[in-house]
Amino acid sequence: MASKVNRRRFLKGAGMGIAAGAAAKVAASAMASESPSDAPAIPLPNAQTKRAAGGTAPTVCCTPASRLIFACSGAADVGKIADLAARKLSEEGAGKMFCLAGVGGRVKGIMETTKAAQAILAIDGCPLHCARNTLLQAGFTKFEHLCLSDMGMEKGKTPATEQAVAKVAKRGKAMLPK
Amino acid sequence: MKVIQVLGTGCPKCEKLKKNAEEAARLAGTEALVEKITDIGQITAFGVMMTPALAVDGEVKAVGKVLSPQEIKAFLQ
Amino acid sequence: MAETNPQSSCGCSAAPKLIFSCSGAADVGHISDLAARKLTAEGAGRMFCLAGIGGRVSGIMVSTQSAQSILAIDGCPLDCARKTLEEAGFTEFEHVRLTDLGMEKGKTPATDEAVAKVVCRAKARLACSGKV
Repeated sequence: MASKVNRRRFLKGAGMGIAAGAAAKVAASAMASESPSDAPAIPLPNAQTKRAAGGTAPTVCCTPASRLIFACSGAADVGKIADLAARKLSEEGAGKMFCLAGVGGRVKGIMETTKAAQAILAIDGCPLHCARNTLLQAGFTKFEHLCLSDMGMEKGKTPATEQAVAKVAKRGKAMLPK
Repeated sequence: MKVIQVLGTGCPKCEKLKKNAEEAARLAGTEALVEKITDIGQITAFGVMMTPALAVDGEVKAVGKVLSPQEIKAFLQ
Repeated sequence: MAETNPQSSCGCSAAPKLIFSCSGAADVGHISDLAARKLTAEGAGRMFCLAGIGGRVSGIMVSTQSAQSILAIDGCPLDCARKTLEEAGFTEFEHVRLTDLGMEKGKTPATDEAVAKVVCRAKARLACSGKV
């Protein structure tokens, strides 16, 4: 009951729209027979196969709401850039920024939505890889990972300019499915 | 071999922690490399907020305090 | 870590007051994030990486255990920041929720005014926090 309430509250509050509602329904039905602990991060093949067999194109196929982006949003300059890049990607529709804190907090609605994602991108500001580690700790193993230090952005030496944010967003976009 | 890293920019507390780490390795009878990290960039790379701090084999064990040799020895066993 | 290089002192200064924000995807999450950074810039506390708590990053976990006090800022009643800290075993911390300030998810643009309101409430909490 609690999880249903959380999911409803989340969808209503986040204003994710009808597409997200459809995504959640598919995820919910697909997830019904699986225990949360061993659920994969990428959506279940069964859901898509059923739709394809019906002769109609899947209604849930890489919609923005199912391409989730998590940023470390850390305290340093590179954490700020990661945060802003995720928001930028979300605004541009390349994916949907999602709440990493909800994964760390094991918030049911957020966990279930993440399990149902078509694709996940984790953006970390520095080699501590906090976002990546948060996902791993919560049992998610299939995701793309972008670390700003790999792009030459060093903690404490990289002001959060529009240029820096755009550079990261561009790289992140290339790592997400179209 | 255990690698003990003492993180600190260089003041009496950091020096004391380093000495205690060396003593802990001796008490434990463990072969250990005790390394002092003084570079701020390297210190923050550990995710540490205050110094002195102590890491054993890359894992931070204590922050903001000077552990005794006995306390450090416990991390080596 | 703050945006400017942190002043690492060898235990001579007091342990920091750490601030964790949910930094969630919605407007209220963004305000939480901006408020935490502003509080740090103004010296009221030090924003720290909540993701490092969720990720159980040793340096961040141990630093948080040594903090003078902790403040968690959540954008909405899902209370993700609070739950992240609790999942990791932290039970003693102050908590500010933007909903309690009348800020509703999806209806509260991240303006300077909104951030300032949160900063004000957070400062009050930080002022009376701290281990005896």
